[in-house]
Amino acid sequence: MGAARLRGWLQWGPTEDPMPSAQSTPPEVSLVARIRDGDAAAESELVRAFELRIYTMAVMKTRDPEAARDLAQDALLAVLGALRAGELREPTKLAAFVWGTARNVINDHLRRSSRNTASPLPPELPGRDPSPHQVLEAEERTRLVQRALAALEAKDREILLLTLVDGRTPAEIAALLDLSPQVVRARKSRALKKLIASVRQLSRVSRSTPPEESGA
Amino acid sequence: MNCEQVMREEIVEKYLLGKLGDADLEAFERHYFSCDQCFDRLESLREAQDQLARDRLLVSARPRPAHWPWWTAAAAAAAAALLIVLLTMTVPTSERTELARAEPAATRPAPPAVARAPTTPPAAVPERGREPLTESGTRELRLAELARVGPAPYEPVVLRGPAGEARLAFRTAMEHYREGDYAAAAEGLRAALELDPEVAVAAFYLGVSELLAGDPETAILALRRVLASGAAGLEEEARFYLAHAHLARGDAESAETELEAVVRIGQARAEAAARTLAELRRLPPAEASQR
Repeated sequence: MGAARLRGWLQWGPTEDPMPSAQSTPPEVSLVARIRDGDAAAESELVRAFELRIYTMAVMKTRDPEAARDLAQDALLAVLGALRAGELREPTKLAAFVWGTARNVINDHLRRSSRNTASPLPPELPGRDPSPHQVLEAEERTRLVQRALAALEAKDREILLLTLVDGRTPAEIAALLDLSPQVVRARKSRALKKLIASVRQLSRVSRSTPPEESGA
Repeated sequence: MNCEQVMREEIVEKYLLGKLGDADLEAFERHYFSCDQCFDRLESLREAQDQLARDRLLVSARPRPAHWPWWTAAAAAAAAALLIVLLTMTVPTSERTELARAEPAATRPAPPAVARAPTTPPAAVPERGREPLTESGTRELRLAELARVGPAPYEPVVLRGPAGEARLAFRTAMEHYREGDYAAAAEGLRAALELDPEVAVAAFYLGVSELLAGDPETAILALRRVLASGAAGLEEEARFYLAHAHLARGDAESAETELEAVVRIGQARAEAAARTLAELRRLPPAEASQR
């Protein structure tokens, strides 16, 4: 990955709209400084903080989990390269920087894919293997979501299925299930609230009070 | 974009369904890179979306008749390990000779001519507009599916020197095993064990045969006997099939214990065990009841 290409991505730069800062992210300033100083543990920390976010964005754009995994690696390598070289001028905007770099990597891939240009496999990242904690968290989330869905009334689960899987509107669901649209909206809102509340038992989600959901 | 807007405008839902305009899409993605709460919501709903889609595929599947069409693609090393145990357990020291493989024996026995029905029948397919499949029905169906397993590989060897009665009985029984007649194999293996109760590998194949013949309770007894004997090289296979016998009985907890042990042993069956374990842990809890 050439330096010129990397600088092209960095031209995106910070915007006039500062990202929300650190109440729910690692202390960016010391993390960036440690990475600039060659701290391998800090690099692993960055990878673990952002890899899933980048992967999620990539899989939503490409709909290809394998490609998304490679793109996440590409993006993280680009980020680490820039941070090692001290190229992030405002460390408090680390999250925005990572997002912007990842977006550019993914868009670059989508353009290349449309021209069927193959790219070499990226080298391994530090901290690439999920930690036992990350594996446990993923398994725990799966288990909690499964339980939360099972605990819903059958009708509410059907509403969520029609909403999240089929993409139906409340009016369409109301017609299918012989309910009023208002009831569908209320039940959907309540079911989502229950689902999220159940999954929020995960210990790492304890920093801020969630905004209350609106609706009946 | 901020968290209030995300909630008010159902941004996460729209994002998952690809219904956001370009500006909102970019704004939301920037937002979740620094907001744990909204990212967590996104991941939870993404997981829910996956599970609901998967459950729908599951309940839409036509009920299939019980049969055992699968063959394990076990490595030759697993078969060799079993054979080595066979020789050390059945051949007296005075008779122990070098191994010589027979002409290539099938490691993929013919499908069984007869297979008993699984202990848990598949659930009915619900119609659109009626109550969907109950959690207990889904769970039973999945346990029955996860219980399905192919036969453990077996490759006969040619030994020099006379064979004892137990070994002859074993060999005859394993001819039935290779033909897929697991009920006959089980009968022959019981006879072999009566002649020589110390033959752990006979107990192992007895357990497998009983399971494939549709008798998981007897399979469990035989496989536990194998583990109690401490036979080297058989633990992973015995625990793997023990897990499937527990699944066939609907005992997910015991199955989980055995699968975890197989994963820890970390040999040929570890990957398959890990996959089954992951599927098992996605099942609705046993206490969920019809609503």
